[in-house]
Amino acid sequence: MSEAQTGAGPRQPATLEPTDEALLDQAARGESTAIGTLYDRYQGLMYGLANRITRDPALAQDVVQDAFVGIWRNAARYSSSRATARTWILSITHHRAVDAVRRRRPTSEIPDPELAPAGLTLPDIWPEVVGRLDAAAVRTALDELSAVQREAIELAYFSGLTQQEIAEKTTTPLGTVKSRVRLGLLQLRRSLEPGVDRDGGGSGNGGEGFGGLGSARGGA
Amino acid sequence: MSDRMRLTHAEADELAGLFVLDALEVDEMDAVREHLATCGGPHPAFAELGGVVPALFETIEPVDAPADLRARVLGAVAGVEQLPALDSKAAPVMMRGAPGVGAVAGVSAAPANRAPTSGRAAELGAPISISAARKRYMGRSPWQTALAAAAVLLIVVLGGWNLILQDRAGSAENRVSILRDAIAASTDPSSQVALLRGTGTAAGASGLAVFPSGRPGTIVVEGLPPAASGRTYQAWFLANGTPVSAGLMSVGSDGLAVLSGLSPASGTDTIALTDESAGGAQSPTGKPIVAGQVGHPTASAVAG
Repeated sequence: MSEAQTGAGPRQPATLEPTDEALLDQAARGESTAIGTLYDRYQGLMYGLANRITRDPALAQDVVQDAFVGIWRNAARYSSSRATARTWILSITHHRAVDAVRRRRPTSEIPDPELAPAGLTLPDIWPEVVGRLDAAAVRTALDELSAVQREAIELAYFSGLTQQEIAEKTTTPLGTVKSRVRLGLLQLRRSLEPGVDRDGGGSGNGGEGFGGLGSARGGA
Repeated sequence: MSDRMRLTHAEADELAGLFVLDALEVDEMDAVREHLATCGGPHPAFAELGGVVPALFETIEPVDAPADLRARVLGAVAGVEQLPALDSKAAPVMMRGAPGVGAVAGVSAAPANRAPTSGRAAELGAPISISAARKRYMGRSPWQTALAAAAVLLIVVLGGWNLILQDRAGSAENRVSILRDAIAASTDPSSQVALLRGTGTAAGASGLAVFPSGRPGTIVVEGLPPAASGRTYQAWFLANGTPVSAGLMSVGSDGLAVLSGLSPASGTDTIALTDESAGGAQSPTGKPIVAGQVGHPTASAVAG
């Protein structure tokens, strides 16, 4: 991913440019030009994310449009103390994309698009780490997962599948799906946490209470 | 309400990974949310696993959207009404379609289970602010005030959700149902009720704790600021100063913090909220920021 590409969603805009948080504040005050600036910053990431989840360019455009409508409607409710603007914007996009793909499945219930995405209901306790991540580090950490853990997370987050759908698609018991997702996320956290000895347990809390993540590799 | 999925502490915890990835069915998501809102025990896995999710955004490959999408987006946004801030002090909740102050009095004089639905609310009067409605009830008896507080909360919930959800109530119905039940219980003389008031950083908060006889109770607080990063609100039953955790509370997208399914500890005389580290504490680590004394409203007050 080039720097130019990541420019679709910069964490730190150039000097004198308003921050994403400031733009959301402007939007909250009814200044629609802020949405234009946010669009210019995030359209690439949002459309890329929506495409990845929906695998339908036309639907992905609808998702981006719907997400911006949600951002505009809820701008006054954004709280920088709970998540970065980037996380908030992309979480809304993810939620709307999942909504869109589940609408196409006749047997699925539709998640409520106005409910906060699950991640946003939780305090963003890791901003200092996430702020320093790059794609290479995350991909390396994902590569360190077992294939089945990686597949479970991919299907859950980037294909918009529910646990039941993942279980059916992978012909895996439901309990195993839960376990793979959980252990995969814990392993990701542990891998990305600074100052953690990946081979020896380190200070990460990811394995706490779960018998150690090392044993999960390949077996979860 | 009775057919809602209910999760044990362990079951909710087991779903944490799928919850933070948005990979549960709607009823499962609702059940997890409800459990987290009512469970007294710690659930550190949700914060632990949820904190990883933003890292997944780093794997997104940006793709330029078609050039005409920008105009579509700006055109779509132009016609959309914005939702108010959740902090009622900073931006009073002006609810188009919510009942006016007169309707609040109507609710206090009528059985709460016949309070207006969101659909009916849309047909009713002028916008109101929560603080203005609350002022109308200053100086009344505690029981009247309790009913008024309940009515205001009902308006907030129904009016707020009406704006938020429009034609799709979805899981919000559960929340509204919990509030309706609590408000209905607050009209029962056998219930125990505590009017909650905030102080300090939560000076603008107010709420109601209702404990119907023989049934689980509910705590509802409006006007709480969202808990700071790594922090949470924790409710306590106090009996002669001895605290027992009632559960963790967070401010929902409707601006309310709701804790339901409560069984107060024996001898509870006070309900209090404290600001604690995420996951909660075994005992309060600071002074209460919201509190109220529990008491029985009198039958005469109800009749009056």
